[in-house]
Amino acid sequence: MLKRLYIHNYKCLVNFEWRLDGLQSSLLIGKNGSGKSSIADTLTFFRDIGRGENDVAALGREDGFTLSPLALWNGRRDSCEPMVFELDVELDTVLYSYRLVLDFPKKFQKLRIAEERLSQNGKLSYTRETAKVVIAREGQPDAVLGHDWHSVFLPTFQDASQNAPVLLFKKWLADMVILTPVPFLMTGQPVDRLAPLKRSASNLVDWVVRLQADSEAANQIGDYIREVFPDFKAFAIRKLDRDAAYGPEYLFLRFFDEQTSEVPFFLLSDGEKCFFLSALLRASTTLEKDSFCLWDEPDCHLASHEVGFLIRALRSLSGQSILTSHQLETVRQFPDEATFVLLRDTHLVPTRPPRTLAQLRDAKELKGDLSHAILTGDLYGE
Amino acid sequence: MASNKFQWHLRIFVEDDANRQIVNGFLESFFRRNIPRCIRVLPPSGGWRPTLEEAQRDCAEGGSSRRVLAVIDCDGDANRICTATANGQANLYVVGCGEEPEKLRQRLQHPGHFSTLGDSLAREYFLTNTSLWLHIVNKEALDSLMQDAQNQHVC
Repeated sequence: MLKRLYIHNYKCLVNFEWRLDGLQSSLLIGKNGSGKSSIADTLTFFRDIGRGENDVAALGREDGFTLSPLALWNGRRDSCEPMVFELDVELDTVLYSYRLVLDFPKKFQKLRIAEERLSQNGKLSYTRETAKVVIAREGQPDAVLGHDWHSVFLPTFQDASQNAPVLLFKKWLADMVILTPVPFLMTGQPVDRLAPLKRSASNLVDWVVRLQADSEAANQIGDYIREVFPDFKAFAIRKLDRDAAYGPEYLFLRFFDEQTSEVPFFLLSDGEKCFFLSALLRASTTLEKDSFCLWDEPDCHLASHEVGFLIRALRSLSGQSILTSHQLETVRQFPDEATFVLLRDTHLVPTRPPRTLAQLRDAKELKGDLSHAILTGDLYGE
Repeated sequence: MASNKFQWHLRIFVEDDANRQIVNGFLESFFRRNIPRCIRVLPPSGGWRPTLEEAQRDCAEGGSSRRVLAVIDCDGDANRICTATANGQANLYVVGCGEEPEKLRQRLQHPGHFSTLGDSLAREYFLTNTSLWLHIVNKEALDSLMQDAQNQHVC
């Protein structure tokens, strides 16, 4: 479970610490430009490191963006302040603390790793300063080695013990599901059946194929889809022309009709595609003990009356989930203590530390009706 | 169960944000976070009178499949519930907090937030020796609604 996230000097997030304190499901709200998606970006970098990407310039690339020096707060080329990313994750009573510090010295063309550190329950696994990596070894002197300035060390690092706890941590990072779905890109065709799910969910069918391999997950997907489409029967991946020997495959949904009929996934509406995606997500989280999901604006393609149902479903995920939203109906599905508000006054100042609605109420900064405070912008200090 | 106006469904009208969080906390706990789609919590109405008016109107407009639950603050005046149910709408259920949820939380020295108060209410719903439910006016209406839901295999 993600316990803490610290981001410094990345876009509008400066000295930004977010403690989740064991919350299984939480919501991030804030006006446009307050940093919600930047948090999703940061977790994408961690996810990519877990998946084995060590080139600092390639983090996020699969999702169409990169960790650029431009993301340094204000993009100031003369800035001496490094970019800092920290994450605390608890898995099986072990608290993993990972820290990655990136700087951008003069005459460099891309970011350099100034510092990197991993500890387990406060005990150092390895530490690094620029190129020098020091690996802690039990009962033996530390191992020292040199490592490329632009290469993250964690994907290379593997502890020698039998139960390999670092592997568990890296797997957790790799399995994080971070979503900013773009339904237009969900064509319903398999692309690379082994590729992990992209933030845009454009390769969603590959995920279907993998989940289908587990019969329990496949049944659950069907059950979840039937909550929204009661006449849904099953889904299938097949060629357009059943008899063709070759040709691209597509995802089809079968519905009960007088004669059972099929609809290509491609023809579903944007909102329906998001429902389908949510069904996959719900089924997938039941397979993983410590699943984690961040879904950036899950409600943006939905009809108003469906928003509450989807958010309720996402709140019921068996793992940890973080949602972001601008929608009032979404906010209404969360208790005050699990709703974090990001406040940022102007583009020239960083985002303020996150505070829950409960904290804002206690501090009398939020009075009266929440809907009114959101619709008028009072909640965001406007 | 999918939401369908021809099948049993429940709309819950709440007075304010505090009641909304209590209701959501109750439902999440009671249904172990899998709240059926046939149950919908509507936006807070703002005040006990508008809540009851909206609930009565919605109940009258809905067919025989609709059940309406209104959750209000009684503020020490239990007659508010009698007023609401006086016209004998069979599918309208009204329950109330004996006093404002904020005051109730303080009086009970409940350590958590409103959602955890809802969670506690769900956990103690079937207990007979609970003091928490003594602060809820007209629990009988909720019992009757629960029985109805059970008959429809919702819970």
